[in-house]
Amino acid sequence: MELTPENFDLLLSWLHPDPEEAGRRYVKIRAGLVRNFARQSVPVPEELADIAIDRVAQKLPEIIDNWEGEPERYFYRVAYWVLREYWTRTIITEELDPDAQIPTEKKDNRKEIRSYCLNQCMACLNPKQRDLIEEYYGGERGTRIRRRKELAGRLNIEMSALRVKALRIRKCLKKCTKDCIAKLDQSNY
Amino acid sequence: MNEQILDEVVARRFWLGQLSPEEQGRIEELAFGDPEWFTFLQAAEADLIDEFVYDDLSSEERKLFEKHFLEKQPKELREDVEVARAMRAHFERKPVVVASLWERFRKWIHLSAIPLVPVMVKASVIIAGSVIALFLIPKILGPGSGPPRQAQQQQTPEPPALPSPTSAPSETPAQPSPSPVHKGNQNTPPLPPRRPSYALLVPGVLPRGGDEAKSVSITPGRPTDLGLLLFTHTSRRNYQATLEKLPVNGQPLQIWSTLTPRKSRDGRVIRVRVSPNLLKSNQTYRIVLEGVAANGNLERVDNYQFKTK
Repeated sequence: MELTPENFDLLLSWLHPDPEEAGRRYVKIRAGLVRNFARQSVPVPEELADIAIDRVAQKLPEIIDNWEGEPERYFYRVAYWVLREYWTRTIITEELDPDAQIPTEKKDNRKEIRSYCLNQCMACLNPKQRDLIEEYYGGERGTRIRRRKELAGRLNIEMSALRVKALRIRKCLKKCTKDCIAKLDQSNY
Repeated sequence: MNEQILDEVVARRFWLGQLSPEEQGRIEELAFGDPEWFTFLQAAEADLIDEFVYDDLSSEERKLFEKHFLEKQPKELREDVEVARAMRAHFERKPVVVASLWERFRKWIHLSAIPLVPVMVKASVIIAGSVIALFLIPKILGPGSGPPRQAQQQQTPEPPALPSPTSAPSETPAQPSPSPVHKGNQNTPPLPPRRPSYALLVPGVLPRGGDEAKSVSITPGRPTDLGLLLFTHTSRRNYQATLEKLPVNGQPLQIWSTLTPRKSRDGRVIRVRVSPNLLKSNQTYRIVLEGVAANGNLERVDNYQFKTK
């Protein structure tokens, strides 16, 4: 969605009644957004900062009457969701074996396709990652937490660090599964 | 200060939409400003998705999750749930679920899509079947007929008197055969019953003079498990149980840490299964029951001491 001149004017007037001061604040907020996106290891921080600003401008008519506090804080709140969305769409893939080929068999059932693709993607993980994720998620429900603690102990890391490791592998699997589904869809049509 | 704002419980409430807009906003700001908190929040989200997929959420949490997460999130973000489902299926490698006899019966009796077969007709078929089973079959089979197992034993001829080097008589009962097929003409001693023995334990330590109610009789080498029913006042969603040996002097010794507790419907009785190989006669043991709290941490619930004979 494009940012209209009206929305942009409203945004500036919200930042400050004086246009010059509003301009200075806008630049400061944008710089803060870019800095934080960069801290979050986003390769395109400026692009995301602009997306966040656009969204604030579009949302502004709904919130302007009830908003209390510094406008900058609202930008950061919107930026959080932009960041989350970004990482959901763009996920690091270098952890997967780049040589691994995903066969393009024809599958018609959605659930079956997802399961098939996940199996393929599991095979693409390196053995260490595969062992970790299998131990993290596998086994009986009742013993899962204890096993995770034991796994963290064996790896000599905190539980929180183990969670993050599992989360990263899971993200890779998700991205790989998504790509695989898209490939299969393409081959079907 | 950040830790006061965001911890496991708050993160869960964040994703379930249980925070005020002000609190919600503070967390969004915090997570945007600090990559570690951003990851922390994502990990909490992944845990919640897992719990949803594994049916570990309480009914209230489930409703909130469906309302605030599944309905409000964009489609792309909801894909995490589908991936989690696929992962569960992958890791569990569940066999094809075959409906139980009762389920099939229930389905059949509610088969209202076929108007020509009213329920009354079905009921009369069932009654007629029951009458046949109760009265006619015993008459047909004769007065000596009994349960299938007895009938099988009657049909099985006595073992030949010829000694065989592979069938030497032994005082110890044979281990059950892995194959379900038992040939009638083999000299197979009767199999021990496969039913596990059970004992109900209450929390606490043993009185000094010993307590018969908390003494558990075990049969060394028995192939079936010992089921311990632990009575508890504290309800948790999930439990962990550890078996410890209590020596006369010295610290408790952990024997087994991966007992798989299952709770009764009302949550008052937790069942754990212990392999008899882990236990020795005339010893005191303790089961330490821990519950999984809302924040995912383990909290000790109760201790259960028992003696073996």
